[in-house]
Amino acid sequence: MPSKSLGSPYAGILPVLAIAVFVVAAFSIRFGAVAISFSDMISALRTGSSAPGMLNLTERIFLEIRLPRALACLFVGASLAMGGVLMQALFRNPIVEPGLVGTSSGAAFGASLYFVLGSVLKFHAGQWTLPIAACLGGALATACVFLVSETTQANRESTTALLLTGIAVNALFLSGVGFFSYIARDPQARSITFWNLGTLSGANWRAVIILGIVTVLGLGIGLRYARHLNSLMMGEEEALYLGVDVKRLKLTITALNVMLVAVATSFTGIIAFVGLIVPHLLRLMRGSDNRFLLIGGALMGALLLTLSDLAARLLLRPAELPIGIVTAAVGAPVFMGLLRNRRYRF
Amino acid sequence: MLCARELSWTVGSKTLVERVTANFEPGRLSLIIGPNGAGKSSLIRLLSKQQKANAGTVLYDSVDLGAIHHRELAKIRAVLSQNIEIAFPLRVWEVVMMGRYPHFAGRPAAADERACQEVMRFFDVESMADRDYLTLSGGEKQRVHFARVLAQIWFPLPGKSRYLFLDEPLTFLDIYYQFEFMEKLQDLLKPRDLVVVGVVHDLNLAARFADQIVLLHAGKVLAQGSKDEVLTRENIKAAFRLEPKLLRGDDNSIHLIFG
Repeated sequence: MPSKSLGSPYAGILPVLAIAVFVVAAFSIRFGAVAISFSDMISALRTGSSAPGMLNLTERIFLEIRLPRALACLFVGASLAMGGVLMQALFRNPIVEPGLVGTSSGAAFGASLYFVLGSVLKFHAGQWTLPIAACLGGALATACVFLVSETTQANRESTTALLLTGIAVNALFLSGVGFFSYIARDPQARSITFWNLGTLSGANWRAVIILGIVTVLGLGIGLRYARHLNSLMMGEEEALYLGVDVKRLKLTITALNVMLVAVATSFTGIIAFVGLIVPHLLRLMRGSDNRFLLIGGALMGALLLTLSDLAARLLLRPAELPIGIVTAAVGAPVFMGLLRNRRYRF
Repeated sequence: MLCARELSWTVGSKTLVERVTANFEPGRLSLIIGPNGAGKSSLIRLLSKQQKANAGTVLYDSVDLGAIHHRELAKIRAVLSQNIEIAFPLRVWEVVMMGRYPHFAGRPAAADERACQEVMRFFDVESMADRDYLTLSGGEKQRVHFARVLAQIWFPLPGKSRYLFLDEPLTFLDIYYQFEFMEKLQDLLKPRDLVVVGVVHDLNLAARFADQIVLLHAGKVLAQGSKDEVLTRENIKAAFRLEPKLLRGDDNSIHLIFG
């Protein structure tokens, strides 16, 4: 047997993905209602750092709209895909994703609650208030799904219980979002509805910084636990026999998923299917080592969401589609194809 | 040396294991037998720290098992459980390498690679190293898990015993591999630092290979000792409600025939 370390069959594809992300992001910045040439981008970066006052309109569109939007898109795609990797590993089930276990709808609930009642609340944490509200909502809904499915699990197969509970809890929290959008006064309401479908149109540098911090932190923490998640693939008992503190692992991974997905959701609304499909595609390409799935998932999630965003901006140009419509329209058929794949057991 | 002292485990009103006391010596193959629901797997769970006992103690080389952290324990104790299901595609060598996880952080060291190679050769799964685990037959999967579990405790530890627990290891194996596995276990026991405790259903395999047999019934030890002491007509009838015919081979072997 040739000597191999865990990771070697995986390594080759990561640089390819990274290059693809870079290229697609560059083209995503280039195209839109106004086309921006690559030389415009370079000159904007040069002028922007030396003399910000001297920027022309195209350069300002690049620096203030396109670039932050492209970066936000990369981080959100990466976060959602990593959330999917974490949840699938935790439940040892390839059809689980953050949207299913309540994280996304809970985050939307928390964020819309803040939109409507934010001005009344006494608590403020500056620009972190919205993401924190989303995290609290996401944590609440996720905890609901876990606790309820665990108590109904006794007489049902655990996946079925989880799926059914997920449907119920999602419906509950989305009805909450609907309620807030109904009672909200006009400008808030519009942002909530749009946001149900997911959009990156609100991206700004403030959001990019928060998303960037959370994404990098999430990847770092996730990688620390990747090997433990690998042993969890064989079941909780086996993981324990391999020295893993399973209870702590489950709690940490759930919290990490909530952080990644809720913060992303707080800025973009619910974007479906990224967390579900990206881990599948990677597994089909190479395998299931969670270190690979996390890094590759971050890259491929960024890639897919950037492509979707490009499509969302170009299809009805100059109008813009909510990105959630694009990801669902592409993701659902891909997912149905995967369901028919006999390699997986559900 | 592994010692269980007055071990009990009660869930609700049901006592799964009741005041079990037994010693398991390194270098000897100890097999637990008993009818369904006798508490065989439960006893393995207590001995391997999957489950905490309600009462009694387990000693690993005279150290209380409760005082050994799971992370440290994973370096000296490996467990093969029944029915391991993996839902994701993994290469066989990746599954085997999981056995080395307790020993390295980050990338596997040369010793970890070597352990995997040696253990895969030992269990004759080398040729499957690059295959997708999900495409293997039940017996092949079982052999991969033998390799993984043994990889975990592959190298002898100076001055310490290693512990191997096997919960019905032979389930998916045909008779050839059953014998081969038991013979390999006997090979592994030769350095005399390995404690092996296994649950088996086949009484004739126990009779053929065990150095020590523990017969459980309703959570209690009905008999323990050598095969001559345990595999008597009275004991078997009391535990299994069927009376066997006992045949003695010329080499002092025992064969049980039912019906």
